[in-house]
Formats: sequence, C-alpha cells, structure tokens
Amino acid sequence: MVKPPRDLIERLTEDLRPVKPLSAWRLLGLALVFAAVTLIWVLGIYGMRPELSDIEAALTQTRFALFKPLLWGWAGLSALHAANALSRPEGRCHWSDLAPLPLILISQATGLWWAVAHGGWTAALKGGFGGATLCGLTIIVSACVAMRLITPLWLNRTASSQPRLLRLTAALGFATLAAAAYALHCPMDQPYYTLSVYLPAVGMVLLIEGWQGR
Amino acid sequence: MSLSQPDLWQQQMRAAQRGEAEPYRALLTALRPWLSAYFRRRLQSPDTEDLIQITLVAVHEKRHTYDPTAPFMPWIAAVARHKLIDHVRKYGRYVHVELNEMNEPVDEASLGLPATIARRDIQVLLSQLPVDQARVIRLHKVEELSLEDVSRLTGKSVAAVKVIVHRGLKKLRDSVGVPRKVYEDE
Repeated sequence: MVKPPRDLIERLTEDLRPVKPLSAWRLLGLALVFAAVTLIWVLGIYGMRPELSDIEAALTQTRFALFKPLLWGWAGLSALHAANALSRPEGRCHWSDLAPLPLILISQATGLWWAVAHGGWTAALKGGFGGATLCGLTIIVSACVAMRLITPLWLNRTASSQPRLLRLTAALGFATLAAAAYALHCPMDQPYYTLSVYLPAVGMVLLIEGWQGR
Repeated sequence: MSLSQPDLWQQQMRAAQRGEAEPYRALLTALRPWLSAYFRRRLQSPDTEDLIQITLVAVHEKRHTYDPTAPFMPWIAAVARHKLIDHVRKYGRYVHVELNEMNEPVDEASLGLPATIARRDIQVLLSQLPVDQARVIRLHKVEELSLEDVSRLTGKSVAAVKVIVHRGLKKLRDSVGVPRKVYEDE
C-alpha cells in the first residue's frame, strides 16, 4: 500500500545524500578511454597504414588517408553529443548531431555511382575486399564491449524520455569511433568498401544494441 | 528581493543535489500541489494521488539528472509527463491536453505554469509529427483558424486539411498510448 504523502516526503528527505549531477564530461571521458584503447589495439596489433607513417606526405599527397578517420571521428563525437543531450528527462537531440552518418552514406554512394559511371563495376570494385572481416569484427566487437561497459557506468544513471534512441546514439558514437580508429590502419579508401564493410558493421552494432534495448 | 517560484525551486533543487534536506523537503512539499494540478488537468480521473507519489519518488531517484545550470521547470514537467504517459499506458486512461491552453495568458497567481507547461507538452507532442501535419494542427487547433483559412494558408484543400487534422490527432493519441477503443468510443 502507498504511504501517505507526508510520510513519503519525510522518508525521501531523511538521510539525504549529495549527488553528483550527470555530466557530459563523464561520457566524454569514457569515449576518450575507449578511443585510446581501440587505437592501441588497432595500431599496436594491426599497425598504421603506410601513408600515415609519414605525416608530411599524408598531409600533402594522400589527404583522404587522414580525412577518413577524421570523418568517422566527427560522426562519433556528434553521436555522443546527441546521446548526452538525450540523457536527461527533458533532453532532445538536434538532427545535425545525427547528420554525419547519412552524409557519409550519401557521399560514398555518390562516389560509387561516379566510379561505376566512369569505369564500370569492374573498375569501381578494383581494390577487392581485403581485411573486410577484420574491419567488421573490430568495429562490432569493440563497440559492443564498450556498450556493455558504459551501461553500468553511464547509461543506467541517465533518465531519458527516449531510452532506446539514447542507447542507439551511444552505440552509434562508439561504433563510429571504432571505425575512426580502424581507418588509421585501413588502406581501403574506395566508396564501395565503406558502403559494404564499414557501414554494415556500424549497422550491425545498431541492430544488436537496438535489440538489447528493446 | 524575493525569488519567483521557478527560481526558488531551482535553488532548492541545487541544494538537494548538495544533500541539504530542508530545502529539499520544502521543494517536495511545494511540488505536491503543483503535480496535483498538473495531473488533474490532464487525467480525467480524481485518482491522481498514486501518480503524484510515483513522480515524487522519480524526482528523488533521478535528481542527479537535473542540470543545475538549466531551468528547473522543463525538467520537472518532463518527469511528470513521463510518469503520466507510463500511467496511461499501464491503465489505458484518457489524457486530456487542451491544445488551446497555449493561448491562455500567463497568470502570475498560478505562476504562469499551466500555460507554459502546456505549451511545452504541445511542442513535444507536435514534434513527433511530420512538419506539415504539425503545422496544420497548430494552425487549426492552437491558433483556432477555420478549416478554410488553414486551407488558404497551406494551399491544401479543405478536405485534405480535415484528413490531416484527424490523422494527426489520432497519431498523437496513439503516441501517448491511449488504447484505440477509448477514443473511438467518444
């Protein structure tokens, strides 16, 4: 039976303890730790792509080698910004925080269309699918492990009005940060590779986390 | 200089986060009648006491999610709204949100809260609809324009406006979990 209100208020206020307000810094800190661990994993075990070993050459000759990890990193930080905005009861995320992923999809699809239009499918798919399994597994495993870890450390402390969207934006953030880390190793810059390996891996993380948060 | 009620509640909530029991007790005591008015206005049932208590417990359990630099009223309104929606989903009660509450003048004696909170509720509800549909409902139901005026402003036929309003309101009812039979019976 529910107790009368006066008793309830007394019960809630007795032994009141200070609480730390939910902070964006906590999520950012967890994301930085995740990024650092993933970078150590990718660069320590797989190694950095050769063009990036010489940063001067990367800046002048193969800018896309830097652009790819930066693009994924931007997508990751934007998604985590959205997750932070959604973490409070009155919170809502801005559409621009979730825009990077569709932008990547559209730009890569356009790139593939252009490549096919100018050289046919054979030329567009010339690079093959080397490292696809490794890329997919790195993104999926690291993002899912990160989600298991941040659930008690951060997710359970939130009070979102859209808990499933919150979970999905956090998962998107960690999956795209993992993609950014892997992109420092991966020499496959062709649009078809992003469309058929990176994006499905990110999509798989979203499916798994969407199912977890149902 | 005395503080307005929202400012006072904001200060009391900040103090509660620091672990100060007295301001917290004052806040919860002051929230009771406010929540009571909030729920009675929306729930066509006198039985709101359980809901008030559930909301007070939620305020206590989730007090760390209040951002001390942000206004307090949107936070408490969101907590109350979620508890109301949970309640409606659980018991299939009817929720009453007057769309024209938005136009009520701000009443200092009642802290201006019903109008501002209703405005926020309506914004939240309408944001779930496509932009065009939300605009038509806002023009017809909130700004009280006639179907003909809405038709002229939006470039849609009167029949199309009618259909958009009907479907939009149905979608809004579904979104807060009101069982189909409850509103179809009306």
